[in-house]
Amino acid sequence: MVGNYNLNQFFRDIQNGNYTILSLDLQFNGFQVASLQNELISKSYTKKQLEELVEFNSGNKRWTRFNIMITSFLNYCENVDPWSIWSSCDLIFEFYSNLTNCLLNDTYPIDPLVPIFRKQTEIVIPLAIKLDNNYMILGTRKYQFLSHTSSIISKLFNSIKTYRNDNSGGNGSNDSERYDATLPEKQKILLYLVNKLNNLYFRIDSPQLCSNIFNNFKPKSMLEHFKDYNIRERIEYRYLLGRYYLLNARMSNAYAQLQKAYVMAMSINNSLQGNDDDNGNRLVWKRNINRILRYLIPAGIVIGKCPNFNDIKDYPQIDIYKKLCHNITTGNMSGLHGWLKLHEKLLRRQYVHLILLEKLPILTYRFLIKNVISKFVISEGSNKLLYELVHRAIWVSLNLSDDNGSIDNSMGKKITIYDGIHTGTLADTENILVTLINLGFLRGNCFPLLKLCVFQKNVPITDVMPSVDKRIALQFPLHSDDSWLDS
Amino acid sequence: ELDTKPNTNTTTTKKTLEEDDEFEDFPIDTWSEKDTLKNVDNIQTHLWVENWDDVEVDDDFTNALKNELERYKQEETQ
Amino acid sequence: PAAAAAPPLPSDVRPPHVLVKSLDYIVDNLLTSLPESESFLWDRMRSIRQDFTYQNYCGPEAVDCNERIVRIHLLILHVMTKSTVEFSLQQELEQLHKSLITLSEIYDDVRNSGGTCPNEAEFRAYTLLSKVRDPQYDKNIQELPDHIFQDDLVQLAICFRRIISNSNFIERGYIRTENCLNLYARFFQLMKSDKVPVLMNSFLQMYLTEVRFYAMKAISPCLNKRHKPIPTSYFLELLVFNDEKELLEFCDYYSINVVDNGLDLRSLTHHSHKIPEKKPLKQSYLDCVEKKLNRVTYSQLINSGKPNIDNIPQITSA
Repeated sequence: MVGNYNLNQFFRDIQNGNYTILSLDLQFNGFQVASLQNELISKSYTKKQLEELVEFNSGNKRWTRFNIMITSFLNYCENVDPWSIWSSCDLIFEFYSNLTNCLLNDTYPIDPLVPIFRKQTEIVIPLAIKLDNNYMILGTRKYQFLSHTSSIISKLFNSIKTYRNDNSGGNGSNDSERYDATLPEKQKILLYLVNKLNNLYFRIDSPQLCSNIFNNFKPKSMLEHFKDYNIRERIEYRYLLGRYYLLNARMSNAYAQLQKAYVMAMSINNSLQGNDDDNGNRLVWKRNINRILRYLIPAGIVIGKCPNFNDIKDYPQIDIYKKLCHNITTGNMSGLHGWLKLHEKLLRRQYVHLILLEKLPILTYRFLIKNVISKFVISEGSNKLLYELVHRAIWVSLNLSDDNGSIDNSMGKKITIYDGIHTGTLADTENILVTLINLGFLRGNCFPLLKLCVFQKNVPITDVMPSVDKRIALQFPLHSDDSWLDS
Repeated sequence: ELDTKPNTNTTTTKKTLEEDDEFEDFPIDTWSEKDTLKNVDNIQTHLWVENWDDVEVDDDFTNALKNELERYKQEETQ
Repeated sequence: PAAAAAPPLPSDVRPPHVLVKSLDYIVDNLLTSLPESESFLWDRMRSIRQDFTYQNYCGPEAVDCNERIVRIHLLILHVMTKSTVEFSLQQELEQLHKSLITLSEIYDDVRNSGGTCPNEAEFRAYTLLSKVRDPQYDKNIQELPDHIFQDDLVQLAICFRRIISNSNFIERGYIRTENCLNLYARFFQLMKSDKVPVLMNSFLQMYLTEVRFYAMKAISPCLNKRHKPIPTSYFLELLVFNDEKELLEFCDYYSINVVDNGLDLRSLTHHSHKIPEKKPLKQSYLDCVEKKLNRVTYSQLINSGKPNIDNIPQITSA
C-alpha cells in the first residue's frame, strides 16, 4: 500500500465505512496522505470540482455535513505542509471542526465516526498547546488555539442527549452489559469529553467555565451509576472537581472529592504493585497520585485533618507540610506566616496561597487557645478564660515584643499580608474568641465588659473545644448534587 | 513529524513533568478493572491521623508560650 | 440610557488626546463642585470611556483616562455618602466596575506584548476590593508577577479580603466557606490607619454596614442568655460609629432593642444585612476618612499616578 494510495481507494474506504484513513496523524498515514497530495495537486481540482467529486462518490448515502468533512479532509491532504504546524493549522482545525459537526445530529449514522473524533482530539490538543506556547512569535492571542479547541469540543458535549433505548426491554439488565451493548458511542465518551473540557478550561485560565460542565454531566448521562464509567476517568473527574472546589475555597467539598480520587488511585497503584512489567505505568500513576496529594493535603489540613506522614513517605512535599502541621498544632502564628512566606512562590503557583492565608489562622488560634485552656485553665480547676491570658498567648504566637508597637502607625514600615491581618490587640483577642465560638470550635460565653470567656465547669477539654473536622462536617454539608458520584 | 514554525525558544516557563497539574494518561488494558473495582470499597489508606488533637508536639515555641503564661500568672498573684 | 442608539459618526468621536484634555478639564474645574456635579461628571466620564471603545483604542491615553476615572468614582463614593444630594450608588459602582474591567484587560494585553503599566498595582488592588468575596479574584492576583503581588496596595487589599471573609455571610449567589476570619475589630483599626490611602478607604466604606452587622451578628450568640445589654460606648469604639445617633439609627434599622443606653443583641434576628422589604440603610462614612481627605486637594488625589506615556508599547490587537 506504500505510495500507491489514491483517491479511488480513498473513496472506496470511505464507502466501505473504513474511516481509519481520516487521521491527522502523519506518523500513521503519512504515506497515504503524500500520495493523495500528489494526485490532488496534479489534478488541480477547483473547490467546486472537489465538492462535486466527493458528492458523486458518496453514493447518495451520505449527508451534507459528512461530505463537507470529507472535502475538508481532502483539502487538508492537498495542502498540508508536513514541516509546519503553523502553515497547516487552518487546514487541521477546519477538518477537526467539520468532523465534530458531523457528530452533532444523532439521526445520522455517526457512531463509527466517534472513535475517529476521539483519536483526532488526542492529536489536536497537543498541537494547540504547541501553537499557543508560541503565541508571542505567532502574534496570536494567549490561548487562541486551545480556546478554539475547547469551543469545538463543547459543541459536541452540548449535543449529547439522553434517550430511553427501547431495545433494553426494561427488564433490569446488567449495567455493564448496557454499557457495552446498547449505549450510543457518544455516551461512551461522555466522561472523556467532560474531562477533556475541564482540563482545557483549567489550562486556559478559565476554570470557572468548568461549572457548566460539572452541572450538565449527570443530566446528560445515560448510565445509571457513576461507577459504570471507567475508573481512570472517574478518578480524573473527581480530581478536577476537587480542584475546582478548592479554587472556590469550598474546602470540605474539595477534600471529599480529592480524598475519593486518592483512595481509587491507591487501589490502582496497589493492583500494579505485583506486576513487574508495569514499571512505566507505575511511575505514571505515582505522579498522578502526587498530583492528587498536592491539593488533597492542604484541603484536608484546612478542615482539621492532620496527614499521617508515615503513610506518604515518597510524597515530594512531605517535609513542607510536616512543618506546617507542626506550626498549627503548637498554635504558632508567626511560624505559620513564616511558612507561608517561605513557600509563597510554590503555593501561589498552585493557587492555594491566599486560601491558606485565610483559612489556616483560625485553626492555628484554635490549637493555641486549646493549649492555653488545657494547660493553664482547666489544669487549675478553673473555667474562666481571661482575655488578658489569651492576649499574652497571641503575642507570643505572633512573636510580638513590647517595642514592636502597632504596624498601623509605625513610620516607614509597610503592611504586608503577614503582619497586616493579625496584630494581637485586646480587641482582636475578643474578636478571635467570637469567631471561634461562631464556628463551633469553642463552646463558651464571652463577657465583653469583664473581658472574660467562661466555659462549662468540670468537663474535659474535648467538650470545650471539640475536634475541628467534626465541627466542619456539621456546619458545611457536602454539595448534594455530588451524591450521584457515589452511586 | 510536524514541527512548529517559526521555531525559536519560547518565553513561557514550562512546568516540569512533576509539577504539571494535568493527569497523565494511563493504559487501562494492562490490568483488570473488575478486580480493582472490588478493591475500591475495602481499600484502607492511612493518609490521615485519627484525631489531630492526639498529636503531641513540643518545641521552642511551646516553651516560650509556657514561660510567658507562667510569668503572667505570677504577675496576677502578686 | 440610549442603549439602542446607533454608534456615532466617526467625525463625532473624539481622538485620544482630546479625551485626555476633556478629562483634564473635569479634574481641574469640576471636582470642586461636587456633590452637585455628580450626575454631570458621571455622564461625561462615561462618554469619554465610550469614545475610547468606539475607536477600539487602548493605548496610554486610554489607560490614563480609565485610571483617573476610577479614582474619581472612588472619590465620588465618599463625597456622595457624606452629602444629602440624591444619586444612584448602583450606577456609580457599575461604571467603576466597568472601568476596572477595562483596565484589567488592557494591563493583561500590555503584559502579553511585553510591556508594563506603571500604575497597574494600584488598580489591581481596587479590583480586589470590588468583588471582595469572589474567589476568582484571588486566583487572578496570585498569577500576576511578583512586583504586582508584593505591591503595598495589593498586599493591603489582600489583607482586607481576608479580614472581611465571613463564614456566616449568607447572600444569593454566594456560597459560605470554612474557617473565615470576620475580623471586624481589625477592619476598623486598619481603616483608621494612615497606611490605608483615602481612595481605598472610600471604596471600603461600601462595606461598613455589613461589617458592623456581621460583627453584632457574631457577638450575639457568644453572650450568656442572661447577659445585660452592652453599653453603646462599647460599639461606638469597636465599630467606629461617628456618633451615638448613627449607632441608634443602625439599631433602629435592624430592630435591635436599646435598653438603658445598652444594646440587647439577642433582639437581632435578621440573618442578612440586606432586609428584603426595606430600603437599604443609608451608606455611611468614617470621620477619620473625611479628615484624611481634607489633607489633599481633589486634583492632587486624582492626578496622583505615574505618567503612562512611554511605558506602553503600541498595542495592535483589540
